[in-house]
Amino acid sequence: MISRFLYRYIFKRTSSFILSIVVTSVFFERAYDHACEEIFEWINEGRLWTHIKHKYDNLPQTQSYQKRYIEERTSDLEEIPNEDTKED
Amino acid sequence: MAASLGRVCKFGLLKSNYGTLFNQLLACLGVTAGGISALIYALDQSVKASDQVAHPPNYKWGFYGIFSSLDHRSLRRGWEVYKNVCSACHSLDFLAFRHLVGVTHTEEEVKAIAAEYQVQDGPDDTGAYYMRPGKLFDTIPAPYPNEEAARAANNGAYPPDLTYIINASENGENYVFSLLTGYCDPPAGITLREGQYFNPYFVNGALGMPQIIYNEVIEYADGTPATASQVAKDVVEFLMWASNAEFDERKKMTIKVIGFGLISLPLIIYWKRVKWTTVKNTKLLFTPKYKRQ
Repeated sequence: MISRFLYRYIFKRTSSFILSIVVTSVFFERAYDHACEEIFEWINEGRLWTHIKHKYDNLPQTQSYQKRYIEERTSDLEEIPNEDTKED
Repeated sequence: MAASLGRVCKFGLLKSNYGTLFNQLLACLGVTAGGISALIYALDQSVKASDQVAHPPNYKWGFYGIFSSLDHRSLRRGWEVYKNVCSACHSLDFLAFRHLVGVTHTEEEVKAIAAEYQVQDGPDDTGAYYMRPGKLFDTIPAPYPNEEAARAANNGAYPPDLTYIINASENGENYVFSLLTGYCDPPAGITLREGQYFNPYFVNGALGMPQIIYNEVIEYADGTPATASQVAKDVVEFLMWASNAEFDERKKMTIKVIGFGLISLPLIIYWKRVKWTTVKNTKLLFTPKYKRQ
């Protein structure tokens, strides 16, 4: 079933085969590099510049504008108890 | 050539079941190559007792693991050590301020550090050279303008440039660490001239640099206790980075290469088996002419 699908739409024509190679290599390389970077940072936890940068960086550049906007407006909100779970 | 070789060897070279001469030749070559390699290895592993120098021990550096990066907290302290201690005599010619960005300091911090230095620039409109505060693209200013000035200021000894000192000396990181922490009184029989200091790790022992790394020689901004070994370790790690700026990238590439090798190995094995299955399953049959009819 799946092999027939693969053959009909990908391997049968050279053009679609080449296109599939290009597309998968783009996504594979992106994902693979990201995974390797994660492993590297996990092995060297606390030793890399990215792990100590926040101590010397005053600008919260990693925080997006949207996230800051939400946090500024929700920080003073009180927690409202849920009506359903309230005990009588 | 091939014909004469065949005549001499009686086609022995081409036959797998009658290749005694070839096999003997190969065995001789193998034994010779192996022997020479073993000799070279043995000579390299010898005790090296003929030199008048102490050999540094191998310390357990944090960056020795095959996936281990440099410790950037240590690099940051190492820059402090270089700036406050080493830079009085040693230059760091091949390093620019911009190289520190994203490694030890943020861009704003490096701009502030660079602005503390005065750098010669010019010529201006009148053709004169002038001094201006350092910028990110400047190389780190050297303490002396040239080698002669450095020698004149240091009793004729030339403080070497430290950028590639770790790669330039054998077993670099251990040697520099041992040299910095290994000063001691000269043993009997060794006389030192004025301005020379005894260090067993330096060839012939007489070093032009006095011991400058002591406990509490500087105070770290991050509060790490500045023991002599901590200071030496930090500056050696910093110089390791100066010599090998691509160190962390190399370790990351190791992970990538090993990972991709593991992915592609089964594929290559499968591909080989696919290609060889025809060869391995082919049966050759020889029928003599008189039986063929």
